[in-house]
Amino acid sequence: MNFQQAVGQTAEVQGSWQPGLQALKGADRVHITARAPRLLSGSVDLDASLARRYPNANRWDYGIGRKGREQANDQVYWVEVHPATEQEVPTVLRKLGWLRSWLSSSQFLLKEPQPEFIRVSSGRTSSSLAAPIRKRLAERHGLFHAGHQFTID
Amino acid sequence: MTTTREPQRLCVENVGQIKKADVTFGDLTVLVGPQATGKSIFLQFLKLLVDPGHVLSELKKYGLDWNRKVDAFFNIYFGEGMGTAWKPGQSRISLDDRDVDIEKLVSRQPKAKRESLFFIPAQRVLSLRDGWPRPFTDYSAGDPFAVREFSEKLRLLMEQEFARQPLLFPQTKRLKSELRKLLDRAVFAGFGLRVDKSRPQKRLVLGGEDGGGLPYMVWSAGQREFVPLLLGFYWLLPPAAVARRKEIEWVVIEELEMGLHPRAISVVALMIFDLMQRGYRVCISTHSPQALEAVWVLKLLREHHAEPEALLEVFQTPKTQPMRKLAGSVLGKEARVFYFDPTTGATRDISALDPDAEEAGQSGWGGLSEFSGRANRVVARAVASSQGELAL
Repeated sequence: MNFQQAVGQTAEVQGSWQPGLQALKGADRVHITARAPRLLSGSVDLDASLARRYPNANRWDYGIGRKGREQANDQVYWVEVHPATEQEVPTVLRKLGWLRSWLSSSQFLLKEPQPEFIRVSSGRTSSSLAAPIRKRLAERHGLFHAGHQFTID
Repeated sequence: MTTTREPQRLCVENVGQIKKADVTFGDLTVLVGPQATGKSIFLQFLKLLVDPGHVLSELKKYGLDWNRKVDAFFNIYFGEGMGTAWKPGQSRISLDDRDVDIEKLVSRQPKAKRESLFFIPAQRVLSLRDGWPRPFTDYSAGDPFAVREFSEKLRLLMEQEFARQPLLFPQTKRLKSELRKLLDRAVFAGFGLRVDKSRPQKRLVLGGEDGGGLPYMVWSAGQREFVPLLLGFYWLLPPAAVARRKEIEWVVIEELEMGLHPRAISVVALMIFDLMQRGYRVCISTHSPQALEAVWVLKLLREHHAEPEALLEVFQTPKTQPMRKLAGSVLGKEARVFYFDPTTGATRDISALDPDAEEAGQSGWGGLSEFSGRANRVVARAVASSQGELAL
């Protein structure tokens, strides 16, 4: 299954699919790039698409699909662009909790291969790659802190 | 405060494995990169070009002759097998944008014997044999000059400055008391370092005020690596009344982390800050992510005008007046970091140490933290996968 089909079959975001990275807001596009744009299989702005249905929720930002490497299914990256300060960690974790719950309740079909949850910093990062905060997010929450720039390989 | 002392910049091209190493020095200059990328050759060139008269006169003093030939000189100075590193017509060196004629340099009669750079080599553990520094002549002609000279300096230090002092560590007049206490905990574990004169051949031992003591061969690997480094620091830090050796401006320390636990590496970093406070310009090479983390902290605290206490907090150091002064001084210094990139053979200035940089050499700190970046991502994926099974 590809990303476009999965979005199309999820009632709450039906019609939100955009080619390439076009679903990303302008300010966020500088933070996310693809080494091979032709391999991207589209994007969806969850935050905007679900604002009316979940106005008070800590909504996650984006889903981005990439053609599968060895698998038939596309790889999905769930990406949140957010300030990377230590104080914002609880907010990002609430958003991650909301996303997981939404993926389950909306019955989003693309679960294999394992989607990646990526936090991208909207400002300068103040932690090194070896910083414990990055390790904690990975180890306890399955969240990868990519820093200021996330490149889809 | 940027230093204005010369040289500011050294450029080495097409020498050995180096295609182009172009380094502009700071008060602290850090070289990183995998093995065999030319960091050590580069630093030895710095020594040769800063102290040409001293190097040539020392070699001649010990009867070494190279018949004014560059390849023969390289085999003596850099070590056996290095004669082919210099490629006539292709190799080039410039100091502060002025070309250096190496053939002329190795042909001249040494005049000024002044020495202004002290070199602590990576192979420093070889400088002690059976617990006592080896003289210059104890090495073979093919051993690098930097190792032989360092060893000889330690021998002279032991036989002249410490001739009447049986206790080498702790030494009240050489290191700040705060650093002594930290070293005692991190390296010596309460054992003193002393000279054992109970045998015909003097030797260094750990502990043993009553004549016993642990000889060199039973020290831990870290202690064997650290003691020559400590003696090197002693050489640079004369007794308390004098802040530094006036004639020496530069200190090169290769692989400061050799054999040491991270806590001991922290103390060595503080000792390097001490050298900087005393006005030495320091160049180090390192494979330690922690050493770069220290430079990164220094840079960010400086950029954000942090108080000196913040730096002391990083190193878990007592916030005494001398340590505050040391931290305040170091926060005013400029550090630069250069990556010896094995894929291009060239250096890259990665002083920004920006973990967000798109370019992997910069964000991965010249390979020292890229493993952490990959590890975080793979762990995040594995954790998301197991949590996903529970949640979905």
